[in-house]
Amino acid sequence: MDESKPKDECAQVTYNFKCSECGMNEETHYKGVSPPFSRKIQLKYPSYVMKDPFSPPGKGEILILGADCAICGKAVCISKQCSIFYLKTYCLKCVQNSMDKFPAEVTNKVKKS
Amino acid sequence: MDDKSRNHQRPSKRQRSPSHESKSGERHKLRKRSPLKQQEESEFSFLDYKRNLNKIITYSSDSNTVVNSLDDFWVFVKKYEMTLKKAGKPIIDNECDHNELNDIGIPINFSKHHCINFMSKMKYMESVYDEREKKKLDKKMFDSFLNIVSIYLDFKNKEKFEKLKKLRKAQSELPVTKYRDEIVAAVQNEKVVIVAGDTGCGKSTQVPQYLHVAGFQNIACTQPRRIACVSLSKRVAFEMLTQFETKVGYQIRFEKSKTADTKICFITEGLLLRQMSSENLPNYDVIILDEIHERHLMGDFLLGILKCLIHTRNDIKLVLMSATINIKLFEDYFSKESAVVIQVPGRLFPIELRYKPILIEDKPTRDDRLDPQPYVQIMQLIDSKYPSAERGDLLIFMSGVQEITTICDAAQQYAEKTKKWIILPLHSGLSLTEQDKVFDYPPEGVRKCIVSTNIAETSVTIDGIRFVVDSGKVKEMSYDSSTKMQRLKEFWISKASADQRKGRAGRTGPGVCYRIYSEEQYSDMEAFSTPEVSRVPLASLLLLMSSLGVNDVRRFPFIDTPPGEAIEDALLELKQHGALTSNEKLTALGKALASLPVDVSLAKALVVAAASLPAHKLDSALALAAALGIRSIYTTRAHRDFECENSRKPDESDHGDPVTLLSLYCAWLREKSRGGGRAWCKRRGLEEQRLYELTKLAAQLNTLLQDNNLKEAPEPETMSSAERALRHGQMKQLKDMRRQYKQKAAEESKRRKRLKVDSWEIIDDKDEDNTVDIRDIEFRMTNDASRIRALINGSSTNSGRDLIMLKLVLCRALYPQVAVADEYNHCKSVSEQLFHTWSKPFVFLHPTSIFGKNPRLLQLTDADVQTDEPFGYKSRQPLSSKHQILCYLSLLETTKPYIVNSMRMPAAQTLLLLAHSIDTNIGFTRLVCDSWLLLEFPYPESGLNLLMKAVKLRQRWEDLINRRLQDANPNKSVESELKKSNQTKTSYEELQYELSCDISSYINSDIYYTIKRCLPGDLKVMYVGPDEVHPTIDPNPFEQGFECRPHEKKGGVYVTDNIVFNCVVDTDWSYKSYEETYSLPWTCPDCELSVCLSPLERLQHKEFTCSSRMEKKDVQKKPIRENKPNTKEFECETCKVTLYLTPVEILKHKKACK
Repeated sequence: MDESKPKDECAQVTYNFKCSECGMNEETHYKGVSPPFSRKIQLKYPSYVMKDPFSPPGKGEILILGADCAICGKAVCISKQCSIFYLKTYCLKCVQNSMDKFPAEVTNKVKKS
Repeated sequence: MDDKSRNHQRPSKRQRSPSHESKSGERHKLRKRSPLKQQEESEFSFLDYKRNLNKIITYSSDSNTVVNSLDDFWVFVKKYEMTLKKAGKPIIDNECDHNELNDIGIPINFSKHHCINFMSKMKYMESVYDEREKKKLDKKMFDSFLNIVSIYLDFKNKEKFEKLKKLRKAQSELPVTKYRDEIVAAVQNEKVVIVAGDTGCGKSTQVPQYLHVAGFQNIACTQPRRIACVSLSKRVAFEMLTQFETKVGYQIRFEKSKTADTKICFITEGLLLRQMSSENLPNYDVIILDEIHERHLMGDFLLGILKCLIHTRNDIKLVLMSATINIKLFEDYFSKESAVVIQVPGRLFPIELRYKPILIEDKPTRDDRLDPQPYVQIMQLIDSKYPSAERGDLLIFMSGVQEITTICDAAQQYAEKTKKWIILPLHSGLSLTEQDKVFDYPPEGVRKCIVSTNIAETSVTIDGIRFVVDSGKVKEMSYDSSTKMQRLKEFWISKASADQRKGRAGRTGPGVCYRIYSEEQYSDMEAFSTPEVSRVPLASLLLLMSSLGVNDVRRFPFIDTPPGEAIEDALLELKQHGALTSNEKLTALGKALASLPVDVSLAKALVVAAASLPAHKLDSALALAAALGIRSIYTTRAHRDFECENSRKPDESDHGDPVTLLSLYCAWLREKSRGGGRAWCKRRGLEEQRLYELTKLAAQLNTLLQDNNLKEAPEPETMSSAERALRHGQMKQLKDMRRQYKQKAAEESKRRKRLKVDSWEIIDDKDEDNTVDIRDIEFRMTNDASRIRALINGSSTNSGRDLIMLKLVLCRALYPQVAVADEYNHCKSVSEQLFHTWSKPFVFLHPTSIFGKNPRLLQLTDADVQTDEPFGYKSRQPLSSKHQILCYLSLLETTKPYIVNSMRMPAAQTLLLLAHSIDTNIGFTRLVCDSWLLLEFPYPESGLNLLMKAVKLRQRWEDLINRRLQDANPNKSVESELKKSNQTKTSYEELQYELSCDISSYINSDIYYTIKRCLPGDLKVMYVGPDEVHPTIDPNPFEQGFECRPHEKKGGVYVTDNIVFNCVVDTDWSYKSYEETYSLPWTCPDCELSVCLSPLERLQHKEFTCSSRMEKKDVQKKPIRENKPNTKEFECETCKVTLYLTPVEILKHKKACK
C-alpha cells in the first residue's frame, strides 16, 4: 500500500532523456542508482530509469534507457551503437577518443561495430 | 502487493506443477552421469539448488523481473550454464576483485561483470539443509548466482529496450511522420485542418499523439466503427507507453474506458453526436473526425453540426481525416472556414493491374447465375505463375453473402485437390471468432484465399495480401421514402471503390489486381459511391437534428443534401408520430423520442409503453424494442438447418415475429439462470452475442426512460445478508475469471494462430465450449439471479391481457405500417401469399418469418365465415369477425419486396383505434380507414358501437400518454402547481389497469364485418364531396366540446380530429339499413325510453340525455390493487369478492375470512 505514495511523486517528476547519439527521446521517471519502484535492484552507475511500460504497474519492472557519459556528460542510450558500459556509461565518441584507456575486451567490440 | 505475488509463486516452490517435474527429470539424468557426492566444479549447476534459490528469491519480499518470470529465469540460467560449459569456463567464477583503476577511473583488469549495470540486492540466507539433495548453498556460490541474476536483468532490459526502439523506429518510418510539424502548426493556427492520406500512412494513430504532445488536453477522435475505437485506443496507448493507464481511452455504445485522466478519447460518431445534444458537451479542445470519406450518415451530419459549432466556439479545433478520395469535396465544403489541406502520400507498393472481363461467349449458361469459374481460374493462374515458396494471399471481393458462398464452394473444391489453399469467407454476418480467422497464418506453402464483401475494402485491413480479385459489384441498401421500403440491390461499384480494392494488394509488397470486368466498364463507373445520407431513412436523423436545435432542417448545410422528397417524407412521418407539430416544432413526445437511441417507431413504442404499461411489465416492452433495435439474433444457419428450426419451435409464437423474439429471449434468460446459454443458442441457430447486446440495450433504454422521467426509478432491492454474502462471493469469482480471461487474451493476441488446411469446414465444438466466455462473465456480473428472475417476469407475457397491450403498444408505434392480405390468398401457395400496404401494394411475407412459414395463421377458416348474411346484404368479401391485418416493422426488397418482422392483429379493432382518419356514412355501417380500407358492418349498430368504443379508448389512451409526458416535463408555473394541489389524480396504476381491461375486452369484441382494399377507382366514388352541406352536430357525442367543421374534399363533418361523419356514400343495402333503423322505434338499453331515432341521435341520447347517465358515474369503485408483480386475480369463496393479491396475501385473506 505504502508503495503508492512514492509512485505518485515519481509520476510528477519526470526526467527528459534524449540520446545525444541516436536522438531517442523519452520521458523517464528516475535518474540515479536505486530506482524507488524496484527496491531490490541497484545500479552501478546513475542511469535514466522508467517504469517498464510493457508490464503492468506495481510489478517492480524497470527499463533503463541510458545514462550521462562518464567523460563528456552527454546523455546517451544503452544501444550498442551509442554507448558501452564498463562500470560506467561511456558514449562511443569518448571511447573512440581514449581507446587505450579501456581493456581490449571492451574496445574490440567497438572496433568491430 | 508483495504478499500476493509471493502467494502466487508458492506452488512453483513446492515443485508440484508438471513443468517442474519434467525439469527435475532432466536433472536426474544429468546426475546419473556423475557420482553424487563428488562435487566437481565442471558438474556444478545452480539448477540443483533451485529449491533453495527460489526460496531466497521469493522471500526477498519485493517483486521484480526475476520473481515475475521465474520459469523464464531458470530457462535462462540453464542456457547460460550450457554456454559456459561449452566455453570451458567455470560456473562459479573465482575472479577476485582487485579493482585497480587507471587515470580516468577505468578498471585495468577486465571483468565481464563490469559490463553489467545491474546489481541485485537479494540477501543471502543461511538456508536450511536441503534434506533430499544433501547439498548446501554457501555464500560464495550465492554471490556467483547473484551475478547471473544481474546478467539476466541486463538481458531482459536489453530485450525491452529493443522493443521500445523497434516501436519508435516503426513510428518514425510512417509516411505521416514527415508532416508532423506541419500538421501541428496548422492545427494550432487554423480552425479546420484536413489531413488526407491513404490507409497505412499512420494518420489515425499518430495525429492524436502529435496533438497531445503539442499540448492539447482533451482530444476526441471519432471512428465510424466501434471496433476501431477499441483497437485504436489500445494501439495509441501502447505507443504512448501508457497501456496500463487511462490517458488514452475509448467510448462506444455500451462501454467506455474513459476517465478523468483521459486526454485522447476514441469515440463513435453516433456517440459524439449524442454528446452534442446533451447540454454538457465535454470540454474538447480538438475534435478529430476520422474516415470522413466513408460518408456515413452520422459522419456527414457531424460535419454539418461541427461546421456550425466552430463559428460559435473559438476554443475548438477541427481536424478532418480522410483517405485521398474526393478531397476537393471537403475542401470546398469548408472553404468559408478556409480549411488547410495536408496531403500525406500513402505507402503503397506498385500494383500490376489486369482486366479479365467475363466474355459473353465464355458463359456456360445464359442465366444470371454467378459463375465461379473465372475466380477459380485466377487461383490456378497464381499457382502456375508464382512459386508457392513466395508468400502472398488472395483477397476476392464479392457483392454479397450468397455470392461469397458460391465462390467459396467452388474454391474449396479446387483447394481440396491442390492442398495449396485455405478458403475463408468474410462478411459481417459471421461471428467474431469466424471473422478473426482471416488474420491467422496459413502453413508454409499454402495461401489464404479470403472471399469478402466490401467490409475488407476499408473496415478490415488484412496484412499479407498480394493478389486481389475484384468482381466490381457491391450490394447496397437504398431507401424509398415514399413507400418506406429498403432495397438491397447489386450495383457496379464506383471508381473510388475499385481503386480502394486494388490498393489492398499493395500494402505489404508489390501486388497484382485482377478485375473481372473490362476497362470500358471501369471508365463507365461513377467517380464516387453514393453517400449514405441519400440511401437511408432520415426520420431518426431529422428528429435528432431538431432536438439539437436545428430550426429548419431543409436549410441544414449538408455536405450532400439528401433528396427533397426524402426529407419531406421523413418530416411527414415525424408529424404522424406526433414528434413534430404541424409547423415542425419539436413536441414533448419528440424530445423524448430523440433521447432514445433506437428507430423513431421503436422509441415511440417505449414512450407509449411507459405510459400504458405498469412498471413491472415495462421490461417486456424494453426487451421487445431492444430485440427489434439490434441486428438479427438469428445466424445464417438458423433458417437452413432443420434441427435449428425444430428446436426453436417450442418458443415460437403464432402472434408473429416480435413476440417470438421476446419469447426466445425469455427462454434464453431462463437458460442463463440455469447456468447455460452457449450450447443452447447454438442448437437453435441464435447468435448469443446479440442476446447480450439485447440485454445491454434494454438496460440502456431503461436508464434513459428513467433519466427522462418517463419511468420511476425502482426501489433498491432488499437482499438478506446471506444473499448478499453469496452474491459477494459470486462477484469475486467472476472478477477473478474476468482477470484471468483478459490475461489469457492479451497473451493470445500476441501470437496469431496458425491455420490448418482443413480448418474451413470442421468447427471444433468441444474446444469452444471449454473456453471461458468473457461476455457470459460480464453478463453474470451485471445480472444476478434475482435480476434475471425479474427480467424473465417482466419480459414474459403470460396473460392474454398483457400480450394484447404489448402488441397494441407496438402496433400503435408502428402505425401506419400495416398490411392486408390479398383477397385471393386462400387459393395460393405458401410462397405466393400477397399483401398490400398503404403505400406499397403487392408485397410478400419474408420466408423466414413465422407467417411466411405458416400463412394459414392469417387466413379465415370456413368456420370463421358467417354465411348467414343479414337480409339485403351482399358482398364478395367474406363476412367474419376474425379478419386480421399485419403490423410490420419494415419492408425490404431483395429478390422480391418482403414484409419483415410482422405481427397479426384483429383488423377492425386495430384500425378503428389507430387509423389517422376514419370516414363514415350516416349510418355507421360503412367505415373507410385512412382512405384505404373499407369496413362494412351489415348488422345494425355494430359498427357504431365499435367505433364509439374505439373513440373513447383512443381519448383515454391519448390522455394517459399526454399526462405521462407532462409529468416528465413539468411546466413550473404557479398555475400548474395550484392545479396539481387542487385535484387529486387517479394513480397511473389504476388508469393503466382500467385501460388495459377495457382495451382487451374491446379487442376481443365479436363483430361481423367485411374488409376491402379501396383502389383509386373505388375512392373516386366513395365520398359525398363538399357540395352537400351537413349541419354541425351539437351536442357532439364523440368528443364533447369539439367544434365540428366540414371536410373540404370528402364532404361531411369532422366530429373528432380523426373521424369525418357522413362523407361516405351509401350503397343500396346501407341506405335501406339506415332507413330501417330510423323507422323502427328504438329502446334505450339503459332507460326505458322508446322512440324513432337515427344512429347519431341514439348516440346523443345515450351521451347527454339518458336518465341513467347520472347513476352510471356512481359505479362502485373497485378495490385498489397494489401492482406487485406476482399479484393474481383471486375470488374469495367465502365473501364472494374479487381481489388482486399476492399468494401470501391470499393465504392471509382466507384465514381472515373464515
